[in-house]
Amino acid sequence: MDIEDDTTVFSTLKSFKSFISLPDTSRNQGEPAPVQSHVLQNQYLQRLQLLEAAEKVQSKTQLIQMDQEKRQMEISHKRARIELEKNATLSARDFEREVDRNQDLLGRIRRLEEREAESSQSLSEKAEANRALHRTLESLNRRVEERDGWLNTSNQTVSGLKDEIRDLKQQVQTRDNTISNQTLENQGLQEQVELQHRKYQEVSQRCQALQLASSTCSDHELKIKELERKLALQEQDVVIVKNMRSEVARVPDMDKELRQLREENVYLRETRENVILLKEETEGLRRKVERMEKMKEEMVNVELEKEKLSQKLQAWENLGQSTGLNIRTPEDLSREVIQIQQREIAVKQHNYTLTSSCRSVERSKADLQGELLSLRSKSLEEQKKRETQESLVRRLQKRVLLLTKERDGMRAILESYDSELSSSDYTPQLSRRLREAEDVLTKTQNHNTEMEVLLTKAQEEAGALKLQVQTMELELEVMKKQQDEGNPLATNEEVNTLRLKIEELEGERQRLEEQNNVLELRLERHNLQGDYNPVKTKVLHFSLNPTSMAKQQRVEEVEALRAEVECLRERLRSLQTGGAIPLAAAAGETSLSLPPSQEVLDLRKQMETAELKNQRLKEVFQRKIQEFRTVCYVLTGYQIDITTENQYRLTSVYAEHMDDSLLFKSSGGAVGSGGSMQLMETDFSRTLREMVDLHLHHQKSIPAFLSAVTLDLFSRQTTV
Amino acid sequence: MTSTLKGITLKGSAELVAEFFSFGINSILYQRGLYPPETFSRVAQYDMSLQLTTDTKLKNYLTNVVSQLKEWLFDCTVQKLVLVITCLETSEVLERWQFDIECDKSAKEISAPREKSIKSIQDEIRSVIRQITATVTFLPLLETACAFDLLVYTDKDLEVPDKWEESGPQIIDQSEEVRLRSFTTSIHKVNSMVAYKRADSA
Repeated sequence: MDIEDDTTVFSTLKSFKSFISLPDTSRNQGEPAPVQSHVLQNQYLQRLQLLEAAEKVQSKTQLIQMDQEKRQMEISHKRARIELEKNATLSARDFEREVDRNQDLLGRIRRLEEREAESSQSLSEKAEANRALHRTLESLNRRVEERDGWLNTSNQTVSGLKDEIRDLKQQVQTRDNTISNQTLENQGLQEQVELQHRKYQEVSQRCQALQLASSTCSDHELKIKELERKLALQEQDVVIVKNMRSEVARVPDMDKELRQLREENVYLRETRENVILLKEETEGLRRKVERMEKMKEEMVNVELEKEKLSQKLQAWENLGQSTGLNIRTPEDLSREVIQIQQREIAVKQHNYTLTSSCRSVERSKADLQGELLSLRSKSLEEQKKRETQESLVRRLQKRVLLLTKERDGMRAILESYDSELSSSDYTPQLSRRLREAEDVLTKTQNHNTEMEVLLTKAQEEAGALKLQVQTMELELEVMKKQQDEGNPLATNEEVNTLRLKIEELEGERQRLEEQNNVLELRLERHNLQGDYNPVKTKVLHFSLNPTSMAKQQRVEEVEALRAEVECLRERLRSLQTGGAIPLAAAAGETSLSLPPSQEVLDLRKQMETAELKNQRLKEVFQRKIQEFRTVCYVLTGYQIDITTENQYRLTSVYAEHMDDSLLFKSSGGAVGSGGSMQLMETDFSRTLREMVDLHLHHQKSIPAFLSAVTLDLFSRQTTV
Repeated sequence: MTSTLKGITLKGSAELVAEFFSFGINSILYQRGLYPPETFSRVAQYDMSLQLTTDTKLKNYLTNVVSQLKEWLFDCTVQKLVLVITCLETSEVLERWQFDIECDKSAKEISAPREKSIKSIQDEIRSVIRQITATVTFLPLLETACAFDLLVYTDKDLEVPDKWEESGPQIIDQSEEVRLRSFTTSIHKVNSMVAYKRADSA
């Protein structure tokens, strides 16, 4: 800072000095007098300004210094604060630790206090326990004393019991005596029992012996039977033996016969073998004979063949003589034949070569003729060209002559004119004549050229025509020559017709080719689609194929569905019309009835129960009513029937006739609710007029009347 | 399989072709959804996995037809085998899978086996079956219930065996046809093609 200060001071000093030096220079330079004072003033002012600036600078530096000090103070302050804060935190932590320790100690103190309290409590409790124990001890002492008392009493009882025991022992002894007596008796009885046992055993043994004996007896009987059977068999055998003896007696005879038969057998066998051999021989001989006969026939045939062959041979041998060749053996013949064949082959080859050479010659001839034609045509063309050129040459020569003549004429005219140049009188006339002559010349020249052109054209045409004519003549000559040679070629007309035919045929062929292509495409298409030629192929398939089976199934399904639908429709109709009857009818159809729903089943059940209830109620009512009616009849003596609405007919038990009945009618609603009952006139009621008057008219009581009637009828019955 | 070491005989060729038809028909039935896919089981054949039906009735039918076809292939009397798919409701033919069989009859007289490796034949068959699977992508969907039938085009003078009967060719009305690959065993050549009913036609 101070350095800066110095520097600033320096700078200001420097500037000051520089400024001071300035007026010297300015003085040296320019020196106006009034300017000096101004200059000084200015210098003063400048110095002041500089001082002010220096002061400012100083103050600024001081400010900066102050700022820096302030920052440093702040930094130090911060550091102090940080340190203080650290200390504060450390002290806080220490404080906290102290606090914690304090709390721990407080806690411990509390716990110790609690333990003290607990121990005091336990002490008190133990004191109480002690007292309790003392009390129990006292109680136990009391009990001991009581038990001692009991013991005494029990001792007394014990002694009493002992006395009783003695008594009992005595009784026991007496009983023992009796027992011993009884045992003695028992023993005696047992001995008797044993005796009896022994007897029983003896008896049983005897029984067994008897049984054995009986079994042996039965065995013996069986044996006897067997022996009897054997006897019978033996008797039979004896009989047989007797028979056998007679037969046996025949045995030696039989032996002899046997021997004889054996010998005969052997002899016969030998003869049989001989016979077989002989048969074989005969067969062999027969076969030989057959063979010999066949051989004979064959021989005959062979001889015939031999004769034929010999004849053939002679003929073959004579061939040689007949043909004149040197043939004796077939080898010569074959040789001759081979030679002939070879000659033939050679001749044929020669023939072929000749024909081929002929054809080649013909071809060459044709070629040469063609060449000839071409050459002739060429020559003609050359001739024509030559002629045209000659004509051109002639024309040109003529033209040249004309031109030379013109030139000579012109020259003469020019010479004449040149000679007559000086005189200018005839110039217009001469010029006119010149012009006329020139016009005439040009006209003639044009005419000339036109004529020449026409000429050339005509000559060309003529040349062409000549060419054609000559070519045609050549062809004609050629054709004539060919016709003369005799080759089978057609004339021009035939050629033309053939050409036309060829063209037509070519057109048809193309059309047919197109048609063929189209048809082939169609055939391919049809083949792809699956067509076939019914003449050559047929289509087979397996009878039980999936399509037919699926179709059948479908048809069956459809049928089944239709039937179901019909059935359902009928049911619907019947259900709509209503009633349980169709249900029963539907129940009769077993296959297609729909399974009834749960509601329907429940309703049916309910219905059935209700019906049952109804029926039962009806039965009960019937019974009750019947009972009531009978009771009424029995007790009151009247049977009450309801004939029609509100009309009741009463018949008495004691009625004399079945028709005797009283008719009552109720009017005015139901009987119980205040409607009156009136008696109607019947035959029977007429007989009871007095009672009617009395009971109904006077007393107005129907029960009295009815009871009077019963009494009356009863009295009548009993009397009668 | 046939004896492969020495070449292809007529009998071996007939067996190969019959086997191809058996697997091909099963593939078509699976791909076209004519039977539910759960009735098919996977088997390995021609180095690829193919579907074979497990339905017994269908199996019996196919074995009957294929065994008869094998005999006819041996006699060289069969010309075509056609699998026809018909709609059950309208009884219309919706699809026709046709296999043309060209038989070299000289193999009947000359019994010498021919030089062609089994592997190349199997490769060709594999490409045919792959193509059949691929054609399903452009064939119209079979929405209605359908059933199939197998027709065999034979020579006219052939004796009709038991359980077989004559039938019509069952050609599709307004069809589109696509020609597929062919394979040959050097004795039998089988060309395959499919014809289907155009979708816009009623």
